[in-house]
Amino acid sequence: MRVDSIALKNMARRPSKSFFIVLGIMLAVGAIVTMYTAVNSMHMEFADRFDEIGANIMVVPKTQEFTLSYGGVSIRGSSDLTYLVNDDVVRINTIPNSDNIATVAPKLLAPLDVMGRKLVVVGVDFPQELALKPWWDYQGNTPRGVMDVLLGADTARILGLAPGDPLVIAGEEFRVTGVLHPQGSEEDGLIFMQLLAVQRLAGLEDKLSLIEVAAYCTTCPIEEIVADINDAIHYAQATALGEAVQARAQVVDSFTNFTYAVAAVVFFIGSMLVLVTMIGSVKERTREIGIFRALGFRQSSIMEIFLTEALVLGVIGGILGYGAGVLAARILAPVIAGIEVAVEPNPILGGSTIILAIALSLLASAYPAVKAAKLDPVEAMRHI
Amino acid sequence: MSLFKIALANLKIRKVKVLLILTGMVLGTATIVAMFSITAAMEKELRDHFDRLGTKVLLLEEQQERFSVSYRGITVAEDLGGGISLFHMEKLEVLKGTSLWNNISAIAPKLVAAGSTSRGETLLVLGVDFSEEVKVKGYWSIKGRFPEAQNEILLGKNLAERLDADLNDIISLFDGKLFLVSGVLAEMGSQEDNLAYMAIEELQQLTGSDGQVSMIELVIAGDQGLELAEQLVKEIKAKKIGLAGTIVKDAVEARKALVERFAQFSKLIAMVVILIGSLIMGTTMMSSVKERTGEIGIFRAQGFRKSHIISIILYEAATVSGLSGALGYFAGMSLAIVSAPVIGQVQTGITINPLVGFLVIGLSVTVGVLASLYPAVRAANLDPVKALSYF
Amino acid sequence: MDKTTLINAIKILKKYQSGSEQVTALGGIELKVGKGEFLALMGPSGSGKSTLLTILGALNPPTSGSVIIDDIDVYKLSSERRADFRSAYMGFVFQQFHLISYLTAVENVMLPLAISNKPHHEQLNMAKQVLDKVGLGNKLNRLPNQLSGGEQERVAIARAIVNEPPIVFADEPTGALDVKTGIEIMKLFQQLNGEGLTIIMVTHNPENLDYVKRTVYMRDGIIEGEQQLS
Repeated sequence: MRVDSIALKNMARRPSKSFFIVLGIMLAVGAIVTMYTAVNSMHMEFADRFDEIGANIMVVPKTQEFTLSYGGVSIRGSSDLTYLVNDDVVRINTIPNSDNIATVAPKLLAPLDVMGRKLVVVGVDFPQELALKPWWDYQGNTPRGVMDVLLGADTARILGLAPGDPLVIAGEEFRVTGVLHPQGSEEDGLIFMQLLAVQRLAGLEDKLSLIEVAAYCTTCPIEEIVADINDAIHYAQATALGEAVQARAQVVDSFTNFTYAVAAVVFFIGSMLVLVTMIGSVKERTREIGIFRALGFRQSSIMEIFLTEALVLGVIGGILGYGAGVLAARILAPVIAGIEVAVEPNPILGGSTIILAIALSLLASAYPAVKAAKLDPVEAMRHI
Repeated sequence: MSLFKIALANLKIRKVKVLLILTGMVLGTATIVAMFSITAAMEKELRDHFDRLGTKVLLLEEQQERFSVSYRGITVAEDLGGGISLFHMEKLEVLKGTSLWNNISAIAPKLVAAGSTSRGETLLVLGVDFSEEVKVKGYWSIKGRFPEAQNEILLGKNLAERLDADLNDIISLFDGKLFLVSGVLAEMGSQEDNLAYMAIEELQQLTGSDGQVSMIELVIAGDQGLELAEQLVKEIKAKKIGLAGTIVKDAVEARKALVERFAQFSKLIAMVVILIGSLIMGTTMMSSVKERTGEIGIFRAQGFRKSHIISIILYEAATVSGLSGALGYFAGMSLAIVSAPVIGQVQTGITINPLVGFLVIGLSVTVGVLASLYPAVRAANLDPVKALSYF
Repeated sequence: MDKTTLINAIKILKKYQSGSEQVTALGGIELKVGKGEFLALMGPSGSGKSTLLTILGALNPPTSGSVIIDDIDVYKLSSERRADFRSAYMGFVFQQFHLISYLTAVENVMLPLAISNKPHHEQLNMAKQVLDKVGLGNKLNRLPNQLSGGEQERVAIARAIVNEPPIVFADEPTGALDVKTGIEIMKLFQQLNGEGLTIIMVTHNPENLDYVKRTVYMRDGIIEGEQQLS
C-alpha cells in the first residue's frame, strides 16, 4: 500500500462523499461552460444578425466630381459618371476576410423611359437586396424574376399603379410585382428592377453604379474589411457607413459587455463553489489527519493523500462538468439564441475550465490539510 | 428544550460547517441575483438607446410629383420636373397644443440650396438647426465644432477634400460672403459627406426664403414611438395644412426588433441561472444532511420520533437558507456592482430591487427545505443502531 | 532495576489554557521506563495520565521538561522528525480505536507501512502475520463498521505493532469493551510484552493491573506512588 492508494480507497469506499464533491465541481464547471457557451453563442448570433441588417459598407467608383442631389436640389458635376463592373461583386466576395462578408448588393442606377417619362430605375439583385433590408414591407408579391418590378410608394401613387399592373419600361412590358410602403427616404421615388434587365435596357451591360455590403464585424474590424475591398478593386472607393458603425458600437458593445459580465460572474461563482466544496470535504477529516500523524505520517505524506484525492476528483468533476456543460449548451443555445446555433466544443474553454477546477481543488484542499497537519495530533484526534 | 432550539444549538456549535453550507447557499443565490441585475441593466441600457433614437417622421409639402434622381448620393438624372417645393415652418403651429406635440423630442428643419464658391466650385448647402439636428444625427462625429456664429460653416468629409478646405479655413460662398470652417464631419459613407451645413436662418436669408424649409424631420422618443408617429401622421393629414408625414423606415426599426427578440432570450438565461443556483443550493443542503446520519441515530436512540428529527433538520435548513437568501442577495448585488466596470455604461442601470430580494429568500428557503427533506426522511427511517455505526 | 532505561521523562510540566484560567495538567513528572516493561498509568479522570501518555508518545510537546527515548531528546526534534521518530519507535492503541473508516482491517494495519519503501506484497504479508497473531486472520477484508468492538481493538493493536516498534502506547484499551473481551485484550498485551515489547498503558480499571509489571498512580498531575508487581 502506498500513500496515494489511501486516497483512492477513500474515494472508492465512500462513494456518496466523493459523489457530492464531484457533483459540486461538476456543477461549478458545468455552470461555467453552459453559461459561457450559451451567452457567447447568443452574443455571436446577435452580432451577426445585427450586422446583416442594412449595409455597413458602401462601394462606389472613385470619381472626383459627380452630380449631387439632396432634397430635390441637384448640382451638375463636371466629370462623367463612372461605373463598377459585375466582377467586382466576385472580387468583394473573395477578399482575404471574405468569411466576414454577409451580403453583397450590387446596383445600377439609370434614367429610363417609363410610361413616357424619364424616371430613375435601380437595377438590383432582389434576393440580396431583400436580405439587406429586412425592414422593407410591400404590397403584392416578392419580386425575384427579370419581369418583376418593385415600385416606391410615391412612384406608384404618381403613376397610378398597383401590384399586378403591367408597365412599359424602355419599350418593353414588365409587371408591377410589389409596391413598397412609404419608407420616408429616396426609395419612395424610385423603381426597382432586376439588375440584368436594367443593364440591358440602359445599354450599360456589365456596369454597376454602386455596391452595398453588409459585413460581419465581430471577428474582424470593419476598417480591415474596407481596406481589403479597396485593395481588391483599385478604381473603387469603399467607405464604412458612420451611422451603422456607431449603432453597432452602442448596441452590440453593450451586448458584448453583458457577455463579459456574465462570464466574469460565472467564473467567479464557479471558482468559489469549487473552493467551498473542497475546503468542506477536507475540513471534516481533521480527526483522520490526527490518526495519520500519530502513526508517524509526515505532513508531506498527508498532503500527498489529500492532493491525490483533490486531483482525481478535480479531473473527474472537471471533465464531467465540461461534458455536461457542452451538452446543456447544445440543448439551451438554440432555445436561448432562438436560432439553430452550432455549439462547437471549445478546447480552450474546456482545457481552461478543467485546469481551473483542478487547480482550485488542489488549492482548496492544500490549505485545510496543511492546517490540520500542523495541529497537534492529540488536538486533531479530538475533532469530530 | 424545543426542537427549534436543538436546531439552533447545532448550528451554533458547528460554526465552520454552517459557514460552509451558508457559503454554498449564498453562492447559489448570489449568482441568481447578480445575473438578474446584470441582465436587467443590459436590457435597460439597450431600451434607453432605442428610446433615445426614437421614431423619425419626415414632413414634406403634400402632393408633389416626387421622383428621386439619386440613391445613396449617386445622382443619375437631373430635374425630373416638380422637385421639392418649400413650405413655411409656421404650418407646424397647428400641431402645438395637441397631445402629440409633447412627445416630439426633436424638430429638425432643413433647407437645401445650391451654391458656388468664388472659385466656381458648386456645392449643396443644407441649412439646419444644429441643436436639433444632433438629436437626429446621434452618430455624427466632427473635427472642430458645430457652427455657432452666423458666418460659420460645417463641411462634409468629401466636400472638404474637394474644396481643399480644412478646419479654420475661410471660404467664400454666395457671391463673396465669407464663412469660417468651424468643423469637418468624419467620413460617414453617405451623402452627408458631400454637403455643407450652416444655420438655417442664415441660409434662408441668403436665398431670400425667410421662414421657408424644404423638409422637417421629427423625432418621437420613447418605446411608444411607432404608435405615436402613426397618430401624428394621421393628425397632420387631418389638419389639412398641405403637409404629408412619412414614418422613416430604416435599419433602426429592424435593429430594435432584433434587440427585443434577444432581450427576451436573456430572460431565459436568467431561468437557467435560477436552475443552476437551485442545484447548487440543493446539493449543498443534501450533502450536509447526509453527513449527519450518525447524529440522527443518537436522537433516535433517545426516543425521538421520526417527525421530531425531520422537524429539527427542516428548522435548520430553513434558518440557514433564509439567512443565505438574505446574504446572497447582498453578495449578488455587490458582485453585479463590482463587475460593473467590466460592463462599462451598464453601471448606471444596476438598481436595487427589494422584490427580487424577497423572491430570492423565498426561493432559497424553498430549495433548502426541499433538498433536506429527502435525506432527512431517509435518515429518520434508518435503524438507529445502523445510523450510529456511521460514526 | 536490572533493565536498561528506554524512556526517561525529566521534569515534565504541562499547562494549558482553559478559557481564561491556566490549568496545570502535569506538575513536574519524573519517570523512567525500562526496556521490556509493561507499565500501567492509573488514576482518576483528570489526573493527567492520558496527557502524560501523549507526551511520552512524542505526540504532545510539554510546556517544559524533556523526554529522552533511546538517547534521543524527542521534543528537540522538529515536528516532522518527530513524525518519523513515531513511525520508527512507537505504536498507538486508542480507546476509540481510531481506525480509518474507509479502509479494511488489513489496510488499516498496513497504514504504518504505507510510508515505508516496502513493496506491496511484503506489506501485505507483514499485515497478515500480525492480524493472525491478534486472532483476526480470517477477517482481513472487513471494514471497521463490520467488526465488533473487540475485533476493532485487535486491528488497532495489530496496526500498532506491524512496524515492529520497541514501544506501544495504549490509552484505555479496554474502556469501550465488555469484561470478557477486555480480559482477552489484556492477555494479548501480556503475550506481546512477553515477546519483548515495551508497553505503556493508561487505565482506570484495577482488574487490568493483574497483567502489568509495574503501576504508576497519578493524581492532580503528579505521581502519587508506584507498585512493582513482578
